[in-house]
This record gives sequence, C-alpha cells and structure tokens, in this order.
Amino acid sequence: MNTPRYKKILIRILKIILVIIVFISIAFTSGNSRSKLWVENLINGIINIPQNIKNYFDYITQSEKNISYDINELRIKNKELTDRVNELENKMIDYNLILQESKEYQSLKQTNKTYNNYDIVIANITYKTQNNWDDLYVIDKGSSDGIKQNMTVITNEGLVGYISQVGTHSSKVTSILDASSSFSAVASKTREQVIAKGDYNLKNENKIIITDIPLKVTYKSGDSFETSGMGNKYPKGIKVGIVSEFISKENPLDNIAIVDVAVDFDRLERVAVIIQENEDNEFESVM
Amino acid sequence: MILILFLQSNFLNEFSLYGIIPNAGIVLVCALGIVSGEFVGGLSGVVYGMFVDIAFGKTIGLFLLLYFLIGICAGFLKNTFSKENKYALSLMVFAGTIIFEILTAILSSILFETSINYIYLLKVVCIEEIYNMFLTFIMYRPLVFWGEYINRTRDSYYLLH
Repeated sequence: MNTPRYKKILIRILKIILVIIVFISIAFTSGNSRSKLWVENLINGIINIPQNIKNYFDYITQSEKNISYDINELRIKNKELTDRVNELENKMIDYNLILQESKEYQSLKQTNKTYNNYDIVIANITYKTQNNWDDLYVIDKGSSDGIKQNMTVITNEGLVGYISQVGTHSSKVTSILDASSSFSAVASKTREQVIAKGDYNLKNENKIIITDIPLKVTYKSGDSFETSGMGNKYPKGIKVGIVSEFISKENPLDNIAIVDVAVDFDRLERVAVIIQENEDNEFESVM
Repeated sequence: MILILFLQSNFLNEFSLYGIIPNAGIVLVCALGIVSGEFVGGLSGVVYGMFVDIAFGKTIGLFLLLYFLIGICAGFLKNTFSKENKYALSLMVFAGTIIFEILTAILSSILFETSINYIYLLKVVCIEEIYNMFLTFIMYRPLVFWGEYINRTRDSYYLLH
C-alpha cells in the first residue's frame, strides 16, 4: 500500500522533532544530580511493582526455608554449641582482663574517635543498574523520607556513594565504584591528600584507584584511606578502603594505588543515608 | 517491555561473566525491527530506552536514543532478510551490540567526563556478543511471534501504515 505523501512528511517531521526533544532532554538531565520528573516517579512506581512482588516472594521463600529444620541436625548443633559455650566461658576470664587494659589505654588517648550521632535513614537496595558502564543502585527511600540530592550514603563498613537522583519514593545512588566518581581522600596514617576515582576495569573487583599521590610517597598493602571532607562532597573521616597494590610509573606523578573498597558491593542489601550531621560537621573514625 | 526489563534486572544479572551481563533490550529491539520494520523498531527502541533511562540511567534520553538507533537500523533490514532466518537476527544483534556499546562508551565519556577505556570496551563487546547471540536463539520465537502480531494488527494503528 502506498503511503500518502502527507503522511510521509508528517512522519519525517515527527522524527526530527523527537530527535530534537531527545537531545534537549539529554542536555537538561545530564547533570550530576537532579530531581526526578513526575513522569519518572510514575514510571518508576510501575516498574517497582513486579520488583516488590519478587522481593515479597523472596522473603516468604526465605522464611519457609528457615522454618524447615532437620531435628537431628539441630541436636548435633546443640551439642557443639554447648561445648563451645563452655570453652568460651573459660576464655572470658582472660579476655575481661585484656578488655580492662584496653579501656584504660583508650582513655589515655587524646582523641577517642567514634562515629558521632547523626541522623540517618536506612534504605534497602531495590536493584542495581543493568548496564556494563554504570554503577548505580536504586534504593526504596526518596524525598518523602527526607532524602535530598548529594546526600552521602554509607554502611557500617564504609563509604558507598552519594544520592544522584531523588524521586518521591525512590532514589538513585551513584557508588564510588562508578567510573565518573571522583572525590578527595586522605591516607589514614600519613594524612596525604589524594584523589580517589572509579575505574571501569576495577569496578567489578570492588576496587578503585588513588591518583594525585604526592612525590616520594609510596603506599604498601594494608594502608587505609578515608574521606578528607574537602570539596564538601563527603563528610570527613568515612572509611574508603585499603591499599592492595601500589603501581610505580616512570613519571612519579603518575603513580597510582589500587584500593580494595571497605564496602562489599556484591552483598550490598541495606544502606544508610546521612540526613543530618552533628554540630561539628565532622565524622570521627573508630581507632 | 516491562517483562523484559524485569528479567534484565533480576534474572540476567545473575549470569555475569567477568562482570559483563547480557543485554536483552538489544535483542528485543532488533527482533521487532527486522520483523515489523523501521517504525516499529524505532518505536520499541524509544519505549524500552525510556524505561531503561528512568529506571537505571543517569540521564533521560541516552539509552532512548541508542535503542532508537538500533531499532531503526534493524528496521532497514526488514526486506533484506527472511523473518524465519534466526541467523539473520543474530547477525543484526551482533552488529547492534557493537554499535550500542561503542556509542555508549563515547557518549558516556562526553556526558560524564570519563575517559574511554578501550580495553574494557573490547572486553564488554566480546563477552556481551556471546551472551546476546545466545539470548537471540532463546528469545527468537516469542519475539518473532510478537512482531508478526503487530504486523497483523497494523491496520488498526494509524501511523503504522
């Protein structure tokens, strides 16, 4: 069937308009952090329905597995645990003495660092981005729970990332493994300022790279890094990770360190979003 | 579309090889393009890309544009290959994957100020090709059936003529 001429022209015009709209959309939405549009909230709500159903069935299935215990296995485990408890009780006396000494040592330190009280919101990871280039997580909390753009996301192990997009009931978290992620960090012991970046080749191994290492500075395996607080991206003192390898280059300014991040992103299920920091606007890490 | 997206986010990510996961969207868009033509291919790319951008993307329009391009390109081949020939579809998926990943790398480097990592790009392309070709053979029948259904009901849609 021959398409009428006017229809062909109409379709061509529509294609051109669509392409223009798409380019405008990319330009307006490619900022580092932004609020979600109402249509995104609506579509995310629709997409979340099967995910929530799946999460519910996962929960039911897991609960049923937990209920169906083998009685004989329980008896064996009970005996093992009883033996273990007796052994631990004997050790407890020695450990109490050691703990007492440790407390006295801690009180002598000038700075007894702990994580200060701050307001957080606990969120569950709904899903992870499904392409081979980004490292984003979608959580089930949004602006209705007090979450705003650029808020820091952590777990008890360390730094996860920041809130890049906020919807009404969900948000996207750009993790520190993402290749576009870059922030100021500091060596925990020697306090040199460095830059921590994500890398495509390392993100699947839960690693990032440290660059801008000062001249004549080298790091060995086991050296740890934390956030420096510079640039107001992340609060100071949140654990980033531990050096696994230091790579020296011909030009010392190009030296890099590969860092195993503190957070296990493969098993990430729950995160904390920092809503409000303490009055000193500073985090202290556990010594 | 939402079913494919759901499978992609919950099922296919369990089959990562060296951290690379398959992309069911490319298979979907190529199949509909080859079977139903460039308009349906482009439209399916727009819709699926929009869902991906909203659900998983950093920006609105990036994957919409990429899937739209893949759909249009697949649609151009509608009269070149037979719909019964699954090897034609797998060939289109092969080409589509290369185009998609290269453009993603280039556009991501421009938009998000990252450098193009050619080794990683090569790794992604090689592993994803194998996965996507395998997915093509699995999803071939349902997608071709869906495309044929669209063709049969085309008369009821004004702009699909």
